[in-house]
This record gives sequence, structure tokens and C-alpha cells, in this order.
Amino acid sequence: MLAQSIVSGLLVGSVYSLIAVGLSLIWGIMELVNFAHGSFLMVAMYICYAFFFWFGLDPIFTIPVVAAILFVLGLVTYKLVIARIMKAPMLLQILATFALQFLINYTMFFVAKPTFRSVKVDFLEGCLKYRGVYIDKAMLAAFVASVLAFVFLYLFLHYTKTGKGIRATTDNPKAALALGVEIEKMYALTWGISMALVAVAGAMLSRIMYVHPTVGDKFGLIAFVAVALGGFGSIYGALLGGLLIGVVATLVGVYAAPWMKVPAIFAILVITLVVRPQGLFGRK
Amino acid sequence: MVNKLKRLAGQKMNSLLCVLLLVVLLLLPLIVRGTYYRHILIFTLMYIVLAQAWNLIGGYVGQIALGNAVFFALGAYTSTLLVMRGNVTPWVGMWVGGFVAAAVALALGSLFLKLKGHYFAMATIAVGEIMRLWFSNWKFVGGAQGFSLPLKRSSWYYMQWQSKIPYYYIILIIAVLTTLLVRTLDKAKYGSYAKAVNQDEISARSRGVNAFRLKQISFCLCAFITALVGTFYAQYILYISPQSMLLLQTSILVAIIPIVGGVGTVWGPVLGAIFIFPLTEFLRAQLGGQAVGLNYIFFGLAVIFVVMVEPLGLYALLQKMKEIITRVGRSHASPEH
Amino acid sequence: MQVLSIENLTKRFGGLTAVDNVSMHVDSGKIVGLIGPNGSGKTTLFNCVTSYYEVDEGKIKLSDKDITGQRMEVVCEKGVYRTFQFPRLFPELSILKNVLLATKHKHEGLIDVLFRAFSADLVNRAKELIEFVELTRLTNKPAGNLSGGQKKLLELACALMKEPQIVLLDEPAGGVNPTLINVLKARILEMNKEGMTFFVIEHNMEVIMSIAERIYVLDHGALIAEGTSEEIQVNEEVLEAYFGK
Repeated sequence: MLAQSIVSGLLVGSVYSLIAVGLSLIWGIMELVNFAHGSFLMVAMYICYAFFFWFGLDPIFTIPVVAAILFVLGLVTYKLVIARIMKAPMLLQILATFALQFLINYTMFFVAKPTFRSVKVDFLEGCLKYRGVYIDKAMLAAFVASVLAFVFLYLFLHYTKTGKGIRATTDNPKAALALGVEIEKMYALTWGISMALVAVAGAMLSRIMYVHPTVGDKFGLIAFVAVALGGFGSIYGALLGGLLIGVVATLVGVYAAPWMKVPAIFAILVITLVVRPQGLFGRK
Repeated sequence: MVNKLKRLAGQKMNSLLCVLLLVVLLLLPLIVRGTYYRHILIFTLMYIVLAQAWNLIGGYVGQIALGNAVFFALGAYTSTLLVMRGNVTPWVGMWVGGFVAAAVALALGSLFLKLKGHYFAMATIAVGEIMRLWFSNWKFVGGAQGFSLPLKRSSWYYMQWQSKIPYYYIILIIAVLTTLLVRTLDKAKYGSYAKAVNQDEISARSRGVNAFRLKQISFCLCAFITALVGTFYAQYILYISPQSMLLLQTSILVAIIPIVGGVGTVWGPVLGAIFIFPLTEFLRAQLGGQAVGLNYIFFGLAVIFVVMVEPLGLYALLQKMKEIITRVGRSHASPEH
Repeated sequence: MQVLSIENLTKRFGGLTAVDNVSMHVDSGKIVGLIGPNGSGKTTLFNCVTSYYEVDEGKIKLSDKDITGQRMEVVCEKGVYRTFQFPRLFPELSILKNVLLATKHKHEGLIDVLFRAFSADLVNRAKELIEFVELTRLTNKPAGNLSGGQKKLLELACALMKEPQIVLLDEPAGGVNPTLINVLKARILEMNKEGMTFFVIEHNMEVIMSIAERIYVLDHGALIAEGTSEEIQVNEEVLEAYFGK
């Protein structure tokens, strides 16, 4: 029972981590909390649904395309909206990203109608059994996708010029500027990459859950908790945070009650903020 | 000397306008007929009060609270439970609810008010969501279905009426009193201290201002007032549930209104509510079923507008326009000497 | 009578000891100076006294009462008023408001703060103080418009408004033009004549030597000398600290 919970928790946690890492990247480089993060996840899920609906494609195979679309969406969002609010006081920044969430969610209500859609695919359906633990294949696929995404991200951040530019800007914007890094470009690219990561998560989630306009909100909030737990500014923290939350939530769901899962996650946030606001690995 | 007279005249003018406004508001139900339009008036006034309450914690002292729905619900649920289980009149229940909310604010405040910016915001969001899910699963408060208040036709004891008119006057009185309270606070030492803490807490504390106490007071006042509106809402709609009272969107809306109108000012929340609410209701009515959530799109656009055009809100915008008008007037008035 | 007494104060930042077992005191009605090369721990010392930083070891006493580690605003109200090297004012508020913010808050009750505005007495007193520092014509202008020197003068006015037991001045002459420096000096001496106690960090030797009766010298966090201004000026260790061997 315990082993089952932990395994399931890690699998779902990997998806939380994926979403949280995107959020952490944005926070790390521009000190902005993107409260609209969940909405982008939802958009990714709808795009996957659209590909499934029109072409019968399994989201796993459309990941590259969806990631590319979300990447562009991230860039565009940065240029059109975020760049303008960078100089605004924090209060306005926070509400502006909420406003963005409203705009995206409710536009989707308009466009797609609030009906629940689902992607029904046969590939990788069902469960594996390994040493007495049931592993849902779709969740396992999600886990693998997340791991691959992290590997790509790591390689990108450490071995490409742009990736290093992003890390430099995150660590020390003034020094980066002095070295000739184009800060604006780094910001925009970070948004793009963040959304691409979200796209991967969205693709895998769309195979598992119903798609509707507010499906992403919960994940957006869970991502915060993961980032806060791990520590704002730490990517590894966000990764670890997501996994921890996945495990704790699953344990709570099994040993207490299913409805307590989300409150437990928020309780983790409250405890973190009160006891150790900088999280496990955070700076500041 | 002339300037002083001009300022006095300006003040008298302001007072006169306020009195005029009050008279209009008092007579409004006689002019505005039709339950739908009266409903819009009542809701606008409700949001004015909620916005003013938020203004104290978010506008003056500067802590970004995004969980005020908690206090709204505490007020409503407390008075409703008292009515349903103890036959206690909501007129009393409303104050009990207020104190319960203030007590909760005190407790939460002692934990969270040391947090700044995003962290405080997130803590309040977390509390709101925990409460929503908890209440949705707690039989004592009616779970996800909530409560339908027992219909009592028209009764002063049970704070229920067939007509909307008594509701209107009650919420009008609350709105006027709340705005007066905020005005008093604004002009008192509180106004200066709170804004100082908001701008630079360390500097304020270096001058001996007890920032934490100021924040606690603001938070408790905000909670109390918000809870009163919660009771009013329960008595007006006669149905309460976690879905209708504890949504994150509601907490955010309560913050959006004063921001659009102008935070940290007395009239900002009023302007914000008047600008946003009737318009969105109107839009929603016009577009019927197609417009699920259209009002939220509107809220979103309003915020973006404020951020890009006038971060200090409608109030500041109006001030600037007034300045331009008086300057134009003066240049026309000055004779060709 | 010792207004301020610092006993064995130590403050560390990770592996670095910024203040190393320092003991000093300031007697009532005196002007005491604190000098030392850059990075010697002077401002850190002030920060520890006012609880801007947490003290690692040692005690701070105000008129023999222990105030170590008490909250910043409490320390302020008990009687330690501190100015900052880079003036911390409220740039958007008027000069008058800035001074009014420094009234004594100790005796303000809840009702007073919530419902009463600043009394006419307080406003008049603030205006008198603004006049004392020669900033009257800027009374209602935003504090952000002031020059560096004017800001330092404003901070003096704020200090007076608080009627503290001791004023901690952090580089009052820093970045101030020479004419204003003279005004500053004159005002400090005048206040001292009225009985105000000062503890002053200063790099401008001319200023500190002319106003301070006793001077402490810090170097790398440690107290290396103390004495009158004449004694300090010929002290070998002090010269070494500033100019090297």
C-alpha cells in the first residue's frame, strides 16, 4: 500500500515538477509570479485535443508540435503583455497575471464551450505490475516524458549559448548585461521555454483527464506550492517540490480521504511560508 | 489669502456634492423601478463595501490579500447557522459573524503578516482554497450544497423582505458608513502611517511606527466589514454554498475593484465598483447564455487597462482630467493684459 | 550617566566577523565620534544597536536598561533615533509629513491613531523644527526633491521630533556640499548645547574632529583606539589603519 502510494505519487509528482520548473524559470529570471501558468497548461491540453479530434493523433506524437506552438505563445505573451508590466508595482503585476488567467480561461469558455472533452487513445493504456505495485502506463509515459524534458532542459541550460545566457541573467542581471547578453531576449525565451515545458505536461495530462477551460487552474496553484516548497529561484527545488507534493498528496488521499489531497497541498504551502519562507533550497 | 479662500470654497463644494450624492442615492429606489435594475444597485453597493474593506489591507497598508472570500463566507455561514440552528436574528448574527471573522483575521495575521508581497498573497490564496474544499466536505456547514435559508416572507426579525427596497437601504447605509470610516482613517494618523509602511516599511519602523500592529488592525477591520456583507448577501440571496461564496475568483475580484478605481484612496473603491459592476452585468444580460464568464474577461481587460494607462486607477485619471480642465479654464479666463 | 552602553558586541556574517567584541559607551549630553576605514564595521555596529541586525554576542543598554534584540520600532521609541548613511525618507510625502511621521508613537492609543489627525501642536512643532534646519520654504514639497544635504538636515529635524535620548548619526556630512555642512555642524552643536546626546559615524575628519569630544576608532571590526580628537590624530595604530604601514 505504502509502496504503491509512493510510486503513484512520484509519477504524478513528475508532472507537477514539470509545470513547476517552468514557473520557477520565470520567477528566477524576472521575479514575476505567473498566476496564469495553469491557463497555458489548459491551452496545451486543448491543442492536443484538437489534434486528436481532427487527425486522431495520440498526444504523445504531437508533443513537438504542441511544444512549438506553446513556445511561440509564450514569446508572444511576453512581448505583448508581460514586458509592459515589468515596471509596474508588484500589486499590479500580480493582478495582471490573474487578469491574464481570466482572459485566457474565459476566452476558452467562449471558443470551446465549457463541455468536458476527452482524448481516448489506446496506445499505452492499462497497467503494469511490478513487484506488487500497479503502475498506470499512461502515468508512466508522463513520467518518462517529464524526465526527458528535464534532460533536454538541463542540456539546453548548460551547453547552449542561449541557455547559459538565461542562467547568467538569472544569477546576475547586471553582470550579464555587461557581458553583452540581451536581457529582453532572455526574458522572452524563458517564457517560451517555460510554456514548452508546460506543453509536454499538458500533452501527457490530456490523455488522462477531461479537458475543459478551468482544468489548468488547479495545476497552476499546485505548481506554486512546489516552487515555494523547493524555494523560489531554485530549479532543482521546484523539481523536488513537485515530487514531494505528488507523494504527500497521494499518501493523504489513500490514508485520510481523497478530498483532502488538495487542502493538504495548500497546507504544505502555508507551513512552508510560516516556518521557512525561502523554501528548501531558495535564496532571498 | 485668495488661495486659502479658493481651497475653502473647494471643500465646501465637495461637501455640497457629497450631500447631493447622498440625496440622490436615498431617492434612487423611487426612480429606479424594476427588480433587475435594483438588483444591480444593490450588488454595486455590496462591492463598494467589499472593495473598501480590501482597500484597508491592500491599498493603505499594502498587503496583497487574495483570500477575502474567507471572511465573506465566515460572516454568511455564522449568521446563517445561528438563524437555522438557534433562531437567532441575523441582526445579531451579523455582528457575531463579524467578530468571528476578525478573530480569524487576527490568528491568520499573526502567522502571515510578516510575509511580504507574493508570499502573503499566496498564503491568503491557500487559506481560501483550503476553506472552500473543507466546507465542501463538511456536513455541519451543509457540504457542497450549502444551505437554503428558510423563507420567511417579509420579516424584520429574520432580515428578509419580498421587496428589494429595504435591502437597498441597508446596504446603502453600510456603504456610506464604510466610506466614512475609510475617509476618517485616511485623514487621521492612520492614513499617514499606513501609507508610510506601505512605501518603505523599514523606514517607517525606524521612526518607531509599529508596522505589524497597523497591519493587524487593518486586516481585522477588513475581515469584520467583509463579514457583515457576507451576512447581508446570505439574507439577500437566501442561498449560501462554498461554490457561491468561497471562489478564488471572488477574492480576486474584490481586489481588482479598488485597484481599477484607485488603491489607497477614499473614492477609488467606489469608482471602481461603479465602473465595473453595472457594465459587466449589463453586458452579461445583453449577451445572454453565450457570455459565460464574459464579465471575467471584462475584469481582466480592466486590469490590463489600468496597468498600461493609469496605474493609480480611475481616481487618479479623474484628478488629472480635472487638472487639465481647470488649467484650460484658467488659460481661457486670464484676460489679455 | 551612560546613555548608551555597548558591551562586548560581536556580529558575524557567515565566516566574516564584522564587529569583534566591541565595547563602547556614550555619556549623557556628549558628542562621541566613531571613525574607521571603509568596511570597519561602523554602520554594522549601528545596525546592531537598533536591531536592524541581530546581535550574535554582547549587550546593548540604554540608560542601564537592556535593549538588546528588541524590535526596531521599540528601540526607537525607547529613545534611540538613528539616521542612515543614504537617507531613508518618504520621497513622495511632503517634508512636513516626513517629520510628523517621527513623532513619539509610544503613547498613541488605538483610537488616537485610527481617528485623530496630527494635532495642531504637533504640526506647529514640526514646522518649528523644519525652520530650525532652514528648510521652511520647502515645507510642503515632496521630500524626494531635496538635495543630499537637505535630506540630511531633514533627518535631523525628524530626530528632534522624536525627542530621543540619543541620536545615532550615520555620516551626516556624507555627500553634502560645504555650505550645508556648516549648517549641519552648527545645528548639531546647538542641539548638543540643549542637552542632546550624539553618537556620530563620520568620514569627514574636519567635521568629526571639531564636534566630537571623544572618538572611537574601529578597524576590521575591532576597537583599536579611543580618546580625544587630539589623541586620535597622533595615534599610530589609527594612522596605520587608514594609511597602511
